[in-house]
Amino acid sequence: MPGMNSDLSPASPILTSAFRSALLQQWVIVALIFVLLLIAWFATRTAVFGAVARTSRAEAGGWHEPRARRLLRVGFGVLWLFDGLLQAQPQMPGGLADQVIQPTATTSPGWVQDTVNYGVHLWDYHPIQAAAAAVWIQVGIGLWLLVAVRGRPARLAGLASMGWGLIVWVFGEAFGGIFAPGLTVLFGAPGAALLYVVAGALLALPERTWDRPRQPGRLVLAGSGAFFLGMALLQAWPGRGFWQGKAGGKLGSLTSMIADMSSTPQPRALHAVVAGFGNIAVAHGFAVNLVAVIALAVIGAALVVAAVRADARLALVAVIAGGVFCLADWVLIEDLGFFGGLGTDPNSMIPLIVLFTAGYLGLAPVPQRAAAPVPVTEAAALPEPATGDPQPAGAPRRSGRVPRLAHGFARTPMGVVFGAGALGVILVGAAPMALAAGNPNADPITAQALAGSSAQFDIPAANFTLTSQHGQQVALSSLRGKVVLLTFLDPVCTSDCPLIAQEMKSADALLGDKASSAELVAVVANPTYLSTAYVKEFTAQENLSQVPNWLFLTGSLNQLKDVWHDYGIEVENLPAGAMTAHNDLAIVIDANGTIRQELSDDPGPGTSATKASFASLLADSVAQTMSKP
Amino acid sequence: MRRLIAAGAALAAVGAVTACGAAASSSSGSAAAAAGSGAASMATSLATSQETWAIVPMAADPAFWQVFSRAANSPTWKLVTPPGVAINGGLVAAAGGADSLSVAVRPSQDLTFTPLAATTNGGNAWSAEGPLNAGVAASPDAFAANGSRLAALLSDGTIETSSDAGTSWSTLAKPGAIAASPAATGCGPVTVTSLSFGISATDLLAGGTCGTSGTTAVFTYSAPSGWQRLHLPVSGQLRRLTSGLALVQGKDGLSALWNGIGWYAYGPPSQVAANWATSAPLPVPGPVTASGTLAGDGAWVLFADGRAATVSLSMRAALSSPPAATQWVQLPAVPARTAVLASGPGGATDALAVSGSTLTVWRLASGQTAWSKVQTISVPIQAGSSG
Repeated sequence: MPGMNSDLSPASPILTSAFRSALLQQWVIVALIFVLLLIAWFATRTAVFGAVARTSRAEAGGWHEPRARRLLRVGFGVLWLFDGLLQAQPQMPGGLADQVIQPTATTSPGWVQDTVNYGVHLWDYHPIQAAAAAVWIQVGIGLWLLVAVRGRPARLAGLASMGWGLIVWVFGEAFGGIFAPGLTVLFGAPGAALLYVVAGALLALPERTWDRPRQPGRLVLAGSGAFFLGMALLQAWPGRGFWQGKAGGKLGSLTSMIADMSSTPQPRALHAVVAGFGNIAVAHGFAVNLVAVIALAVIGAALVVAAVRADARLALVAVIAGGVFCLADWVLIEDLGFFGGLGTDPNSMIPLIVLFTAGYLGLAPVPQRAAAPVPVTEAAALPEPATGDPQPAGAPRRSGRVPRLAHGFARTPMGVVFGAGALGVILVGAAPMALAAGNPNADPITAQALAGSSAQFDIPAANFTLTSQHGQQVALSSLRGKVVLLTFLDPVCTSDCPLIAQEMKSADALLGDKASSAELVAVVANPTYLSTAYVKEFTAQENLSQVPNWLFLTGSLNQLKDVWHDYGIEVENLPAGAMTAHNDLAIVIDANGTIRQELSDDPGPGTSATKASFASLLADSVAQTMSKP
Repeated sequence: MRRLIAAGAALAAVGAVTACGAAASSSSGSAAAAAGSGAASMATSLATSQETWAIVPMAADPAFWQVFSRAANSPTWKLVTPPGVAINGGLVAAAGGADSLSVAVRPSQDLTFTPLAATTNGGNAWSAEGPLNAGVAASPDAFAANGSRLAALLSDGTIETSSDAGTSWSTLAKPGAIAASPAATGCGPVTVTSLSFGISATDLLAGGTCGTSGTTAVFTYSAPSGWQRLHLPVSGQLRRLTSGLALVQGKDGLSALWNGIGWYAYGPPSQVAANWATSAPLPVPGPVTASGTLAGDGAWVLFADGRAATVSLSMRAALSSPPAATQWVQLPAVPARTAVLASGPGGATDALAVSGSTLTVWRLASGQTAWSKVQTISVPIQAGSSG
């Protein structure tokens, strides 16, 4: 019904089912990538070396990865994996952009909103591809970080983490809200994704930098300390609403955030803990903020001092204190960050803990261990490929007949092979999204989610003769030979009908050359405002005068009632200044005058994406009918 | 990330509540419903010999503007809002005859032109007229009727007229046309806010402000002589110009002036054009939140603090020599949430108060000092149907 717009539900079965199906298909491709790669690798090794060789440390280059770097790599690898799995939640395609990303930017400056809206636009136009891309890109980066221990692959994995983290930070987190009022570390500022960027940058550093891990360790500790101190200052700054638990009957900034968090769907026990802390914050807002400010300041100062003095013991104390503080914040204020169906990550505290703990591990001396003999496998002991037979046992076989490329592949460490697979995972998500991004037309899936499934028919369309906006008599039967897209519009409607008209106009443009074989026909659906002057005015309002195959038909009330009856359209004047109520229905009639499809064209929220999606759906429906004999 | 976002939303909500609080505190008293915004000033009532009409905004965000009518011989009001069109943008009404009313529906949302509706039987049945191919201005006097002659002031300042009940329209004055005419010499930019048919069936009055000072400027148009400026006997700022009635806010208070249809009975147009029946100033401070006309050449005004006053302009008094100034009658404080006043039966004054979707009619009988509740109308607003 016009004016009674239905919003797009993220839980729409059509969207969730399409998302699940896309993920499943891509999962099969991902599995194939790994299976084929491993088969090829093992087969090549067998062909080259005559036996399946185990990967050894020597094969990996004999490099001891510093503990700090390993924590960063594994920690953020696991985080990316976890985030990727969260992205696979069924409500992501329909909910993330409009219910999560866009609201993030509402308090930010206009240019931030414009930037974020670019991403939202892209997501809304291609929700399935975008949501699936987010899953596989993050899973791929996570895997890549986990398996790529050293060398160029490891640094590239770091760069990938950095690049994707930046994209998420800018488009998904609106720059972490750093340009919006109310910035506080307790809620996750300056954005979890920025911490992924920092970690990625550290992992992308040359290995020689990590050969002396104290330097990057001190750098991380000093940076973390400075960050804590800055956040303490922000937290203490008067007038930002953090010192009041409740003021003037309204919750303070901190308490309203906690109340909001506790209201999201989550385990009952967690809700009880968060809500309980919320009550404490309401009653003792000043004390809670004082504790937070002092903790941030002390931990920050300790981290900075430890970094400057290279004091590992002080750093350990600061890191433990920081860890406890961050964990408390993560549970009591950030509410673990990922419940509710649209959580995309565990928020900022866990990556922050990983980051400054890695700083400590870089600074702290490595415990002395007895040197263990390096196991050497046959592959590692193998001489460089040589020509000629016979070959000694364990040496590469048939090197003269095996291409050099195969030798190279056979000697590739398993981690690098897995890294290549991870890159393939990223591409599985990114490639369809890149293709979709190049397509200016929206995916019809959004319109299908709003309108529901279309009904297929094979019944003759009832004929009628009405008057067009040009004052000419037009019979439906006179349009035989063309596919007719028939709908019913109220010329003085203020919401749905102008949207539907625009969607039909866009569908006409999408049809391109085929548009000459189609007719866009609207029949008046208003028992009061039905004169030719009104259909003409509506046509002018919607800039449809220049569309040659557009007809807006009207007639006497009795004539219209007959048409409404024949096509099952209910039209009713509602009292007290409401718009006329009528069905939003699009009917596709083939060139022989047979009804082929009937679908709801209720335009829903009428966003740019839903309009474009409906245009695609209508154009597809007309094109399908044209293609049928 | 979601949590960070929720934080931002929570902070935004805090800001929004603050802003709403500030807005709410700026309006108070019984006229709050009518004082919320500029659009609310379109709430009004008008009276003819057979019918009294009230244009009232109901509900909120969006408002649903309603038309109520009361036959001259009936004590009760009825809801007669024209059907078939969303009225969230506001209604501008003009009485074209004793029992007829034409209504211009201000466009809202994606509608850009103005549907017109008319009734000739007290609102029992409506028919579509028009439309106007642009939005009518947000002024209670942007639309005027005299039989089948209609005049409309568009949002961009264009004045359109129709002589066939809105079937066809022609442009009488484009924006800036009056200012460029000889009649506006020395006036500077002219901003028209009101239209009214004058003492002759072919005269059109256009009222507004002259220059940047906001001085009242009233022009009259008649073919073929074109625009002429009328000089009022009271200086100040024009509040209303409707059906020959002008309300002018001068330094001593609000004055009502009358020079409307039927005035010709007392003399030729050339004579009466310069002679306006004028009230004494009403020295009530504060902004007028709504105003309208009463049966018998009268007017009412409602102030933001709940005070109200009526005036009945006596033509004979105005024509006496020297002219006798008519006095305003201050009414008892109006009931809470009064949106408009209107003529009641037998010389009474009615106050129409709005609470959500309920209209309550309070009546002040002639000579009484207290308002009595006489009727309640529950309006079946279709929440969510538009807007």
